[in-house]
Amino acid sequence: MQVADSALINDGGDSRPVRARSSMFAALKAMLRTLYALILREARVRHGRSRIGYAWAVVEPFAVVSVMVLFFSAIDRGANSVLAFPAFFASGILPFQYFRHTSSFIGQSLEANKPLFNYPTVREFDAVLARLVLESATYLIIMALVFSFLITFLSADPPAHIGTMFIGFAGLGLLALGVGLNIAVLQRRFTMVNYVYNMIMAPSFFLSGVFFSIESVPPKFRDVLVWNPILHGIETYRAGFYAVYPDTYVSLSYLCLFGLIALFIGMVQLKLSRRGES
Amino acid sequence: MIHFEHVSKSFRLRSGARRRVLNDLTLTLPHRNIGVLGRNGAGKSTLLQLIAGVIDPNWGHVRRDLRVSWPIGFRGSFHPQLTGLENIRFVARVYGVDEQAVIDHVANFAEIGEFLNEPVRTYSSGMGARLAFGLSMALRFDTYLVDELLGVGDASFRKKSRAAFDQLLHQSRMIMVSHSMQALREYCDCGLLVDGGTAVFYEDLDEAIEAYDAMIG
Repeated sequence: MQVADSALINDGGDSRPVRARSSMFAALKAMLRTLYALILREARVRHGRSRIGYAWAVVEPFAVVSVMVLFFSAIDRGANSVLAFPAFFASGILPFQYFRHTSSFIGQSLEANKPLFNYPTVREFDAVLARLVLESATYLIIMALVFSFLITFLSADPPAHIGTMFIGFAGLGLLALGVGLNIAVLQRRFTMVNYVYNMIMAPSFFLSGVFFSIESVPPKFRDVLVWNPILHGIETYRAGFYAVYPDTYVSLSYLCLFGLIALFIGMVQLKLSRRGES
Repeated sequence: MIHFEHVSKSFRLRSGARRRVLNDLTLTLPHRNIGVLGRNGAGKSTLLQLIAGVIDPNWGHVRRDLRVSWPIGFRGSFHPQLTGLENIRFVARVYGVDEQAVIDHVANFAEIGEFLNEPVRTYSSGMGARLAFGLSMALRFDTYLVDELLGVGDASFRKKSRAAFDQLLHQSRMIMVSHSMQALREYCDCGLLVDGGTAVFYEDLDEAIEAYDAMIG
């Protein structure tokens, strides 16, 4: 009795068109279909003029992270770090870049896909989710490449608890979704939002545990730094990389709560800002 | 049927003021070919977008128990860097129809040959219009929304478009915005006059045209 939610091709036959989104199940199917179409389109369009296309999305951050790892390792040589620096830095910069790129990429999702919302089946939240999925998949590949590189050429240890790394990664994904959605909605009214966000993110590079472990920070700075949700994602991720890693001050629930609240506020804003306002 | 229930729509202007387009409109549109008339800026296109469900009213609801198209011939969604084929595939995927069938249909209709494999940015405006119109014709809807777009392309393409449209109208209906009384008379049998924040439905198109003529004096 469940009819498929699909328009039929005009073949001159007398088949009746079926109703759109006739049930929850049909609505979910329609959404997944739209998501799939959007992901393919975004992947294709991202570096559209380039011949190697989407490969750039992997190659570029991979090259940037690798150079940074090598550069900062060279500077650090001889310092009395207990934890091998290249791996320490890589396990900080990778989740940081994942968060930074994903949140800004999602922040542009509504503006960049604006014409597509003229198709009634394409909803705004679909465009937001498509970018989260695409960027997450991209960063999983980049992470696999960077760690393979470190293990092969710099004889780093393989990650100890991959499950924990995934949890940190997912927490940052949730945060990026929440923050990115807010940027995307706010951007429709205030074009300044992007500049402000970039201004906030520049110092975050030094305040999110990319270069240090929160455990090693003097208490008076630590009390301030622990309010930064990104730090908890990065430290969880890194704690998963090492067999033993001090994580007394790391709170995954703080990160998730922060992400969920941001997501909720973003959803309310999206609901309140009616389409076709400006 | 398409139901407007206490629908209000206004736009914020750059100056900060609001421009009301529809004010507490309650209306039921039958499943017929409806010609939409009104002055420039009266809100005809806004009404069409509300029917399609691509913009939200500030107040009230629009309910539809039919499958409604996107505005026919719309080509803003074509990404200039993607080829014609890739753009077609996107729409086919979104609507969950067989990609190859849509491609065959559009290729056959648009007659732009090898250009289907070229990025849309290389298209002439005529080719873009053919692609957009062909794509609109490839999917089946209960109601097609048409905004002043039946006159694209050269004479032979217009003839072909008209034939395609005539065939669609065996089973589907359309809601058409036009300033051409001739076009409206050709396709529509009833009318909707949009003016002053409201819209009045006329069972007979000629009555609607008379009212429109009286209005513009």
